[in-house]
Parts: sequence; structure tokens; C-alpha cells
Amino acid sequence: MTPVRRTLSLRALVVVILAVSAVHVTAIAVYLAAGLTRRVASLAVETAPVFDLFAQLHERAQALREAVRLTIEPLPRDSAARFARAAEARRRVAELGERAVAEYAAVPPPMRVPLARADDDLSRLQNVLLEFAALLELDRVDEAGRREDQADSVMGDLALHLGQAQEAGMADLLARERSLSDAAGQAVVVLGWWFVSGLILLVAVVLLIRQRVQRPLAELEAGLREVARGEIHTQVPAHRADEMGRLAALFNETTRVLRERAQQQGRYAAAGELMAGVAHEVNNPLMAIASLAELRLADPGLSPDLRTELDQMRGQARRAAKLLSGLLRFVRPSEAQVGPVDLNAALARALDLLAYRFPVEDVTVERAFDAALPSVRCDGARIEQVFVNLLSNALDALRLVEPPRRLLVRTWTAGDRVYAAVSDNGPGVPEDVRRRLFIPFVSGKSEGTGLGLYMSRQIVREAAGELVYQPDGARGATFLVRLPAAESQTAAARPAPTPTPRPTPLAGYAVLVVDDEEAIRRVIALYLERRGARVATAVDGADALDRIAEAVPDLILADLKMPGMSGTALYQAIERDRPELVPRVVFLSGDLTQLMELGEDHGVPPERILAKPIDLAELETRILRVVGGVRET
Amino acid sequence: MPALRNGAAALLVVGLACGDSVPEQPPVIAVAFQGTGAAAVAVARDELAAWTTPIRVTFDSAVAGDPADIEVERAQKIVVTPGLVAVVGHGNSRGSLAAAPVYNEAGIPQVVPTSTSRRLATAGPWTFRLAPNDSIEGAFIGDYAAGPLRARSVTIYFVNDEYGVGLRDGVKARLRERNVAVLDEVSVDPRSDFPTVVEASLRRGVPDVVVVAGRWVETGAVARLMRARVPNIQVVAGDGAILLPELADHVGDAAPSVHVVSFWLADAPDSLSRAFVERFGRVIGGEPLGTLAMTHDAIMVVAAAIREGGSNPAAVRRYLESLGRERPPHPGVTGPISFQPGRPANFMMTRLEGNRIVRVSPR
Repeated sequence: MTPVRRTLSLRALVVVILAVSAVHVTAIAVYLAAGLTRRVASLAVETAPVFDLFAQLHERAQALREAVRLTIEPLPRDSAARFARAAEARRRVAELGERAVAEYAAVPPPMRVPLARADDDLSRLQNVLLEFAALLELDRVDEAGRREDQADSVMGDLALHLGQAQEAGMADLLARERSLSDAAGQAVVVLGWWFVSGLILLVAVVLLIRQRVQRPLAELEAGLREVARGEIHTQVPAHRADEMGRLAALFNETTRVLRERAQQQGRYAAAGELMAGVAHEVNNPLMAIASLAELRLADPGLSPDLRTELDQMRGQARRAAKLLSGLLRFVRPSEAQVGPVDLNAALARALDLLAYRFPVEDVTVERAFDAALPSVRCDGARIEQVFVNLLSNALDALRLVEPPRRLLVRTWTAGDRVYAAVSDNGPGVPEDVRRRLFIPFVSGKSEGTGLGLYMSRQIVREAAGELVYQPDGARGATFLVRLPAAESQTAAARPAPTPTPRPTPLAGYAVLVVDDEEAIRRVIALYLERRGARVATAVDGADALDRIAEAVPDLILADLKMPGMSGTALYQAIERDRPELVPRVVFLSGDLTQLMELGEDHGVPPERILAKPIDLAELETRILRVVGGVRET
Repeated sequence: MPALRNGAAALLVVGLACGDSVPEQPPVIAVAFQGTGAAAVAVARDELAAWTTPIRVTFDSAVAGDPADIEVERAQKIVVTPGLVAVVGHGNSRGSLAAAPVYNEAGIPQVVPTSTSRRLATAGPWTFRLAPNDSIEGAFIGDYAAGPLRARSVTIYFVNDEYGVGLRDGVKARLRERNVAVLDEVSVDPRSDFPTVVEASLRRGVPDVVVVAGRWVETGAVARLMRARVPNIQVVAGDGAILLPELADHVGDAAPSVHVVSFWLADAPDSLSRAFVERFGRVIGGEPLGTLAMTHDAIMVVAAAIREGGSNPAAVRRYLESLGRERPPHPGVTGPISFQPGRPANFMMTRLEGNRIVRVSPR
């Protein structure tokens, strides 16, 4: 067994993969937002004040240049006009207000010094202009004219400092642009790496999923396919202690349980096979005993004591045969044969099968059968199996309580439903077991398989019915089978009454009895002869064919299981060589399952298949039906 | 994995051994202020010398009113100082604002001692302004002009930077509330043709009071010109004008008409002030100005943060933020120090008497 590695659970793995993916996706967004978008935004935010300041300074400088022009233009001779020009100069300076008061914090550090100087130049120029206006107001025209040079000088300084500021600003902008360009280039590289890392991550995730999910799933699927093909020895490896590992372990546990059940089933099947063989061997002597007793009972000269003893002998032999027959039905699997079934009869057979336990276990059985119970449509053998299960469970439960132990078996009809109930006064089913009562492999018994009730419910449900548990008061339990009544299937479907036998009803018929058991052969022959038939006997199939060649019988009564040429081989030979005689063949066997060897299309009508041991009167009736039909055709 | 762990342990041991052999770098407080700040640094060093917590205070001298570009470059140099835990500075609103982004980007607490621009409140989470903002100072000046000086009309001279514009707006807002007319607003700078702009402004209207939202250069120039043209006119200047002896030199004989706002004066009677004045006299000699007291307070509150909060920038920042909230305000020479909104502001109006600043209001 491969050692199971302890690793992250699949849930945790999925969470980790999602988290890593989320981090991978968001990290790049955060990087772009923080690294690039922020720089772009800050570039816009930080350059705007620079441009604003430049615009403000240029506007102010331009206005001052306009004002300076007043000092350059020829001064009017008229004092009023000069005064007006002075007023104009003052007005323009006043309109400009005070210095721009540079927002130093908003501009890049290299610009601050030249801007401060330009700002001072502007203030100085304003003052020069105001002095020019003052001189004009004071009518000192010549001096006012000389202010032109002073203004020009300040204007020159202003232009120089603005240029320096502009240069510094441009350098700053270029540096920012380069920084942004570098950042963009860096972002492209990072995005490339991010893409590569994403691919690696994707490949890693795919490999991880293949390793952790896909491969175990494929192994599990293959295992399930093997199991579906019936290979229940399949095991799948549990690589890790994760969910898939647990699934694999559960799968292996399931196949282990299946193997155990299969072994159990195999033992049951083997027991069935053994029982079938034993049944055949036991049925022949039983039939011989019963038939001999019956033949002797026909002797009117018997003493009463001997008659009583022979009657008891016949009764016990029949009872043993009946029990054997029931056991055979129960243990030998057969193809489902769905048809009308009398639940009363099925229940009675089940009771017969378990009847040996009632006196031993001190159980009183009460039957309350509805005589007018409609038949139901289902597989009679399987429904009988259901009742055997229920009765067996009830008996097991009753063993747990002190007498009186009562078992009540009831049938009744309600509407279009037929009910059959098995009740006991045992301890009942514990509360915790009730919920799991019909779950497979759950059993309240120490040696139970846990399949009885599950299979029983399945069988009932296949017949469109239901099997339920009903607590019976403080103690006891009732299991109720509910089945739909079969349409137009009532007691009318029951067999017609047997016609009153005549003294020699078989007179004129030739019957060939084929059986390897001398006792059987002899007793049947004796009985048939007494009933008027001409009887020939054969010890096996080959012998029978010789007899047929000598004289064609009206009826061939053949055992199925014989040494040498068996009954089925005989049938096949007749079918092949004398097909006209096929309708005259009646089989008699202690193990009817052997008929299956003939295949499903053996063409033998059910009424011509007789199970050992058979009541001789019943044998006669069946023979009459066959030979009657043969004669008619 | 065990090998990796052993290797890491060995490295740790080696690191610890090496750590023992290298003297630990004391936390550094860098002060970036105009030259007078050196006096405050010297006094603070003297005071810190008695502490068990070793703290190094460096000083980077600036010319008051340095252009913003120079302040930015200075901040960029300071911020790489080994062991730097916090910065005290810079010298004015414009410089402090220009330097603030550098410190905020580096995660270094910046305690601004004397700058009043309200924009410092939004300069960044690592910038803490010690002085009241220009709206409050402007309101104080406006109230003084409309109240004690009984002004009906005012002309405002302002430097066109964050300090001057902020203070001008604060003054205007309060004057509007007090129904005092603002006759003119004149932008000036140290290179301005003061006689011309003042004359032109006076042509447009003669005010009762002139407010200068600038420094000692602008204040001195305007005050002298005003005194020459309108002898009785009063000039009120913001705290930025206080720098001695520069202010006295620039104002000249117009000193009696000049009123200057100060956050603190050496005549303060409280024990902390007295101790500071005493220590200042001992270490430097003479009387400290309000700006030095503010700078001293800024250094000492950072030192307290290092001692009580931890010798790393984040711990210092958390300490500063907690003042007046989880912790009581730090007891400073200029008053209780916290950086919570609505904290009380100390203002007083002063005048020049020779080379001294004397209290005018409140007495």
C-alpha cells in the first residue's frame, strides 16, 4: 500500500489557488495604479500649478510691459494729458495688485529661486512705474522720461529670471517625463514578467489539479468501471490524506465490503447447490416411502393399527418433502416469474418453511387470513422470500422475550390494496435502529447481514408495493406489506377442482416410467397398473429410447437426473428424433432447477413438470390431463 | 534561515559595537535669522549649557529683508545639516514662506519667530508661526491710529511682499471698521525714490497718520520726509521696523513722531522676562529687543520639544502640535507659547527715545 502523504486538503488548496490568483491579478492592478497611475496623476497635479504660476507671471509681466510702454511713448506736452497718463500707469499697476506671491510649495525646488527673483523683479517694476506716475503727477517730465532706462533694466532682469524659471521648469518637466517614460518602460517589463509568472502559475495550477484531482478521479473512475464489470477486487491508490484520498479509501472499503458479501453470497449459493443435490437424493426415498404407504393404504384388509401407522408414515414423508421443496425454492435462485400470486398461499408456504421452529421456540402462531383475498401480481418465490425474512426476524425477536411468544400473521384487503402483516410481541425495534432499518448492511442482530429487510423492501417495491415498519404499542413490532391487487385476478384463477377419480381411469393408456431409482420406478408402475395403465419401465434415457422403439407409449414419465443418459438428454433425443412424442413427455424430479439445463425454450408446459415427491392421486390427475390432450390431438 | 538569522544577529552586534565607538551626534537646532539673531542664539546656548540634554544650536546669518531666492538657497543648505532636528527662522515673512516648502518637503519642523504673514498658517504641517498674524497686528495698528492718534485719514506705505501686503490689509480692514479713510496706498521698497512717491502721495491727499508696513529703511525714509513736509504728522510702523540702531539712524530727528509695534519689551516685569534680560545682559550686554526675545523663545521651545518629546523631527513636531492641547503652553519670555488657533497675542506700541525703545501703550 502506497504510504499516504499528509498534504493540504482540496478545499484549502482551492482557497490557496484562489488567493494566489487574486493576489496575482490585484497586485498588477495595484502596481499599475500605485506605480504608474499615481505618477501620471501626480505629474498632472504637480505640473498644473507650475503652468498656472507661469501663466500668472507672464500675464503680469505682459501687463507691466504694456504699462512700461507708457514710459517709452513720447510724453504729452499738455500737463492734463500727462496727468491722465500718470493716472493710467497707476491704474494699471493697481489692477495688477501686489506681487504674485509665488506658491513656492507647488513648484519644483529648482524653479523656486528664479521665480522668487522674477517675483521681486515684478514688484520692483511696479514700483518703478508708480514712481514714473508720481513724476508725471509732479510734472517732472524729464525725470519721468529717464525712468525708461530703469524700467528696461528691471524688465531685462525679469526676462532673465523668468527664462531661468522656465528653463528650470522645463528641465523639471523633462525629468518627470523621463521618469514617467522610465516608469512606463519598467511597467512593460514588469507586465511581461507578470505575464510569464502568470503562465507559470497557470501551468503550476494545471499540474497541481492534474496531480491532486484529475489523476485520482481517473483512478477512481477506472476503479468504478472495474467494479461495474464485476471486478470487485479492484483497489485504487490513496495518494494523500485529502478529500480524494478519503474517496479512494471509501472506495476501497466499499469493495472490501462487497467482497465479503460476495463471499457470503457464494457460501449461500454453494449451500443451495448442496441442498439441491441432497433434495434430489432425499426426495426419491421420501416419494418411495409415501407412495408405498399410499399403495398399502389402498388395501382394505389392513388392520387399523397398521393403517394408522402407514397413514402417519405417508403424512410424515409428505411433510418432509414439503419442507424440502420450500427450502429448495428459497435457496435456488431462479429467473423472476411475475404473475398472479395468492398472498395467503405464499404466507402459508413461508410459515410451513419455518414451522419447525414454532414448537421448539414456544411460539404461538395465529393466522387471520382473508379467504377472499385478491391475488397480487409479483414473483411468487420472491414474495415468499420476503415473508420468510419477516417471519424469521419475528422469531429472532421473540427469542429475546419470555413466553408467551405470539406471532400473528394477517392478510386483508382495503380498497384496491392487499395487505399482509407479520406481528410479534417481541421487544420491538429500538428507536435508533428504526431510522436505518431499511438501509443495506444495517442489522440489529449480531449475526445479521443487514440485507434482509433492504432486499425485502426492494422486492415489494418492484411489485409496486411498500414494506413498512409499524411499532406495536409499547412492545412488539409489525411489518406491513402493501401490494396493489391484481386486476381480474381473484380466487377464480385458482385451479379447478380435481374430477372424481374413476376405479381404472388409466385403462388403455401405455405409460413408460423412466427412473434410475428402482423403488420409485416400481411403486409408480405398481400404482399406474392398478389404475389400469399398461406400464413399461426403463432405468435411464438410453433404456427408455429402446423401449420407445419397441412400443410407442402414450406417456413418458421421466426422471430428470439419472446416471447415464439423463432425462434432459432423453428429451433432447426425442425432440430431435421423435418430435411427435415431445408432447407426451412428463418430467418428474426432486430438483426442478435441472430443467433450466434445457434452456428457456424447452417447450415443456408447466403442468407436465412434476416435483418429487408427488401425491399419487395428483400424479394420476396430471397424467390424465396429458394423455387426454394427446388423445385429443 | 538559521544562517540568515545568525548573520543578521552578527551584523546587529557589529553595528552596536560600531555605534559605541562613534560619538552620538547631538540634535541640532538651526537658526536662520538676521544678524541680530546671533545674540539670541548666544543667550540660548548659555541657557542650554546647563541642560543635561545636549543640544547644538547653529546660526546662519541673514540680512534682514534678504530676497526670497537667497532665503530658499539658505534653507536648501540648512536642511542637509547633519543631526538637524528643527529650524528657527527665517527673518521675515517672505523669507520664511520661501523657505517653508524646503523644510516641509524634508520633514523638518520650522518655527518662525517674528514673521507675521497669515499665509504661514497654510505653509505646511511642519511650519509653526510664533508671532501673531498680520491681521491681528494690523487691527492693533488700526485701533491705535483711530484711537490714541485720533486719525480721520491714513496713508499706507507698504513693501510689496507678504509682510507688507498682509499688514496693510490688516490695517485697512480695521480702519474700515473704525470709519477712518485710507487716502492712499503706496508701494515702496528700499530702492524707491521716496521723495517723489511721498510728494506725489501728499499731492493726492495729506493724511492725519501715516502707516508704514515695511522695515526700518522704509519707515525712516517716510518718517523723515513726512516730518519735513507735515511736521505734526504721526507715523506708525509695524514690528518689522524694529532694528536698533538701524531704525534710529534712519528715522533721525523724526523719531518723536514714530510709533513702532513690538511683541515684547525688556521692561516686562515677569520673572521669565527678568531672567532673560539678566542673562542677556550678562552674555551680550545691553537690553534685548522683542525680536530677540521671540527668537530666544523659538529656540527654547524647540529645545524643550527635543528634551521632552524626542530628538527627532517627528517627535519635535508632535510636541509643538500638542502645546496648548495635550500639553500646557510652553512658558516663554514673550508669554505662554502654543500654536493653536486663537492663542492670545501680546502687542505694545513703542517709541524711540534715543537708541532705546520705550513702551507707549499699553502702559
